[in-house]
Amino acid sequence: MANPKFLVVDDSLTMRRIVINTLKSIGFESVVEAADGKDAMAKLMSEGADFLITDWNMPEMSGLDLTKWVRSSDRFADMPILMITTRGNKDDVIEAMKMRVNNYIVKPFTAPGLKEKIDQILKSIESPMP
Amino acid sequence: MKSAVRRKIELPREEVAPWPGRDVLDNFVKVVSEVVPLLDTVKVSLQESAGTIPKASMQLDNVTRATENATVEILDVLERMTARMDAMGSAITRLRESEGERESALKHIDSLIAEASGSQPGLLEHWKVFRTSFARQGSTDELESQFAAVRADAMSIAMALQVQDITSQQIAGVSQVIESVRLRLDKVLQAFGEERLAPAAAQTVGRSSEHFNGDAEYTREPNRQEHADEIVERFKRGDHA
Repeated sequence: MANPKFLVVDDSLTMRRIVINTLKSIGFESVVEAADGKDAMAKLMSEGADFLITDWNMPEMSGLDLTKWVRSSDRFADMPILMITTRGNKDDVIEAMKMRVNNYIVKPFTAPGLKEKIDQILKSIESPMP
Repeated sequence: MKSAVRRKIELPREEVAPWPGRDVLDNFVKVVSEVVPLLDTVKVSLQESAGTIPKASMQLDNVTRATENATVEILDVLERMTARMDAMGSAITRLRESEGERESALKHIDSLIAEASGSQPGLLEHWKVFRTSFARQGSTDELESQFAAVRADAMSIAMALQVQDITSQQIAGVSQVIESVRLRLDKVLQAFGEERLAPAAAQTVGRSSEHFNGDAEYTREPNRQEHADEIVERFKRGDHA
């Protein structure tokens, strides 16, 4: 997937700015943002996106519920999803993986860490495991 | 008859036959009479303490808002710095491209000056000074290296600002604890017959615990991410334990 369009979802304006700036620093220029799960749903329906990066704890609609909606939608079911959250417990990670996020980052994240996870996901899409 | 009544009233207390439980009742009355003023003191103390809670919640809210505003300002500055560094980087690239052309022209001039210096004695010396000045300027390699380092530092500052998001969630957790204390104090004071406490006006107070992670940590220890990576890999291999 060349030049994917990212949708960055986080209720913290600070975090959205940091994630977006980091994406741009590693070569991903096409980015839209949303402040919570509901806002993200609306943005997906109106503007579309190729890759979802979402926080977990948010008002209106959590990142987990957003993931559930994405995976159950016809249009976005196969969209790569990367969760970036402060929740680092084993149960949290497993719960997110059960919702079929592609990968998981614990805040505070690093730019190399973000790049690594995105590259892994994009590679797995291009060369899916048998 | 009157004398009999008068006699009964005048009987000394010790001569009235004590009824069973009187001592217990006397003690009970004594304890209650001591406790009641204490309860009044407790009630006043609870009212005073509870009265400070809305202000405490509001102050925590203000802290979150102020740090978010300051963080956004810092990010604005960092973005401007990054844009300027990008422009400087482009200028350095153009400089580097012209470096090669300049060097070959200088070498050609070297040989021309060597030929002409016989008839112009001072020419070679002045040319050497001119040539040396280029060497002292340093190459664009050094400039590029310094810019890369400054750019990396700006990125480090931006990444460290994640602390604002994490601490705001911790503060939301504290606000929730304060609110639960306020509600319990409210119940106790209602038992005293007092009016309900004024609710906290802070925006964060009404937030569901699903909206934040009160246990969020700001730590640069890599093992948290490594731990999550291990769980993800095991899950993908089918190990959901």
